[in-house]
Amino acid sequence: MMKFFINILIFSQLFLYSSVFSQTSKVTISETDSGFELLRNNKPYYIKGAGAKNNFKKVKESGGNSIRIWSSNKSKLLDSALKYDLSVCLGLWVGQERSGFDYNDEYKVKAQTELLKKKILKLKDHPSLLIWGIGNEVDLKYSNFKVWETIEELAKFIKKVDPNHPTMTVIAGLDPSKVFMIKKYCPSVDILGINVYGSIVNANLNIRRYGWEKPYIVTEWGVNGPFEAKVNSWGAKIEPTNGIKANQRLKRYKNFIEGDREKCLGSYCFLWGQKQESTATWHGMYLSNGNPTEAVDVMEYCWKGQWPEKRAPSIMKIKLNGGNWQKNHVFIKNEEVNLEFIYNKNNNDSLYFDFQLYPETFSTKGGGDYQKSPDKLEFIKVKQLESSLTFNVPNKKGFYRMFIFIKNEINQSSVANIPFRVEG
Amino acid sequence: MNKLNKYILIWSLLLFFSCNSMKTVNLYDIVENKEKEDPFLSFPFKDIFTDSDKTGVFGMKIHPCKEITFDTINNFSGKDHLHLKWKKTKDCKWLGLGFKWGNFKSKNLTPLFENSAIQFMIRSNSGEFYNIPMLFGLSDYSGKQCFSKVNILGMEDGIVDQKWRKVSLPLSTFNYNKKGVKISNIKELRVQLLKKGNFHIDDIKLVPYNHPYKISNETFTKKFNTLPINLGDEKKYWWGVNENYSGNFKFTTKSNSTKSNSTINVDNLLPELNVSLSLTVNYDSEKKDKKWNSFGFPFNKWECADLSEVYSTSALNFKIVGKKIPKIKINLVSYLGKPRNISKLINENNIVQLDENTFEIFVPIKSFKNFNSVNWTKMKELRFRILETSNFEIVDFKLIEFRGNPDNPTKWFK
Repeated sequence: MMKFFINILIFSQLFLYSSVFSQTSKVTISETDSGFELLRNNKPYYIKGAGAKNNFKKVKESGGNSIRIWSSNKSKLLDSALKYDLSVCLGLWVGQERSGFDYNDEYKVKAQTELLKKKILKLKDHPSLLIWGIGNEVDLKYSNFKVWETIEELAKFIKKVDPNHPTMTVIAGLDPSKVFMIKKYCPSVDILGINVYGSIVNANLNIRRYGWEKPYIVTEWGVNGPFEAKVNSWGAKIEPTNGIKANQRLKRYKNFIEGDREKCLGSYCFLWGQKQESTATWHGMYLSNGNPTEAVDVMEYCWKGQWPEKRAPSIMKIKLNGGNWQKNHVFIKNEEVNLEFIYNKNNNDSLYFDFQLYPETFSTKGGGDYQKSPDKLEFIKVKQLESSLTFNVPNKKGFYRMFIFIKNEINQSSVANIPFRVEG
Repeated sequence: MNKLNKYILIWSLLLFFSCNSMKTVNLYDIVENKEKEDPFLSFPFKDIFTDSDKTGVFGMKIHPCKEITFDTINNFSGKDHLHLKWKKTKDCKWLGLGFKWGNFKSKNLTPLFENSAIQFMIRSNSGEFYNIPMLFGLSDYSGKQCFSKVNILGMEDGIVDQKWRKVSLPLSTFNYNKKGVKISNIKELRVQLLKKGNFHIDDIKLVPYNHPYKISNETFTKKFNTLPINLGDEKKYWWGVNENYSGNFKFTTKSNSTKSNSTINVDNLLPELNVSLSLTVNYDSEKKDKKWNSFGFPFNKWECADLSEVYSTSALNFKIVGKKIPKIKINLVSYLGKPRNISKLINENNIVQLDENTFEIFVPIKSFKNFNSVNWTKMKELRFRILETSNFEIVDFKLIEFRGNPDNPTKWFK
């Protein structure tokens, strides 16, 4: 009898769970005297989000409430997000002129629209859906403005078939021409999504002086991108250390995202995962081995208002033979050099060090387009101390980059790298 | 009477025969109206793949990333069909197969190009697909290839599933011109397998096909061949002026016909009204809204302006009414190219004083650093940045003819 009641109880719990989570959320935008506000099922919903395809559990644990994905091809991610009670800003991937999509080709344009309409119909009632993100950076290096007709056609279609979720299009940085075009050609777009890295510092100002009157979301933000970075004398991009990047993230969130509650509905940090973009560690808040970096700790502080109990170490400086990471480091073949690194241990008792050498990639790709990761190179370690490593540079002319990884016993990590050249 | 009857008879006969011989005569000789030959009907290589014993297929060797077999169960027609299973990995960069198509005989597709399609039947083992991860290539005898992909509009019911579905690939979607492929001398059809897939294919053939979609050549570009060009005429294209947030910049309008200082508040200005847009600048670099120090407008209503014919013989010209000329930085921005942005700080060589409070500014395009590297066919906008506390009015923006020394422009204008 007891077993029967337990079964009934479990069944009713499951039923309750499934009925709560199988309902579509009603998402609206309200405008008051103090500005715009996103409402999810009539409750204020400030987006604390991450651009992510995995590690959803950690988003939730860190205080985040939403993820952004760029395309509807992996719709299973909506189910994964639902599992962790995360909402989803769902991207509809719209062809980019810079990748060869021709908006003068009626056949391709119509096919693209029809395909995306099918996806909209398929996914519109998913309970984790928050906002439709129609296109990502279609404006980057473009000159065929017909793309906005496609964006509008999809936004208008969404308005017709899905009254529950607002529409957004995402642009690569703010620009008066883009704002003008979207206002003119895309009246069915409710929210402007802006991907801003270095230019986040002027985003609040530019959104107003370029005349965008509806709300916006910072759909990608983080540290300055490789496309904004200084290069050394042989064109290698200078990447700040993880410690510097973490401080920059914190400052940007507090000043420029939380600082505009009038028009900004929230944000999605970039990238809650890992990708190769000039280096393997530039934008990723995770390493390629899956370890979280200190950027994840920063987001927990931003979202929850308190640091995690255990924090990652933080590399602040990296030097080669006494010269900092921004200098040109040139050595002869097989030369013995000294790598120094200055870091904060934070609240860690024991730390683990790893050093990896890679060839320079010199990628000129932009807009987050796919880049191939280089293969790791062997090198000779001469001597390792607590904050230095003596090693031999390769016995071959070329351009290289030395990485240092420091992690604690639960794999929270910090990374820094420094480029150098080997001459004959 | 007999005589009369005779006349009548002769006259009637004459009329009869003449009528009989009254035919419409053409001005020109007509070539006998032969029935127009249908190029599709006379094309001898309509079948590309029907059965394994009738059509040659290459690329069937066993490979770790692909498996191509002739299946005999559940054919669409004939005794077998192709079953393709593949998965691209790092180790297999190119996966594909090809059809000998008429035993590699040369095929002239030119007369069929606009109204024929490659059609085939396809089904999957499981699942529903809205796109087919295959790239189709027409290969000519010089080895050049042009490509096309099946899209949802060419798929029966817009889907591929377990049922045999008809798929059409219009010939006109192959980019032969771009790839330099000789469409009159086609050797074979190749298929590149992308990502991963598991599909059954049968009955590949050429069919008549109506493809109503066009490729336009719209460029959103206006070409400017003559000077002067009036700039910033319409308020709706300006940015940087928003009194809700800052009073640093305010619009006023001036009537050009009277040249008086009387201002009129017209929100939606049109150039035809013979009024010009003037901007009153009241900027304090110490104030809270000090970042509201930039404004701008496009060359061509935020579409592209092709200034390639005029830029090298032109100068930016405008007037400033005020006690002195502040530091102003001007940026010219293009939609494409590298650099997309060139800039110039106004200096005393750019200024001509007209009266106590009126100055005319001349900024030759050639005085902008890197002006030759900019893509002048895709120009976007002009930006102005006020770099110090100042109070003035700025008006009458134009691009005018200039053929003097770019470093000392006022000499030429004087």
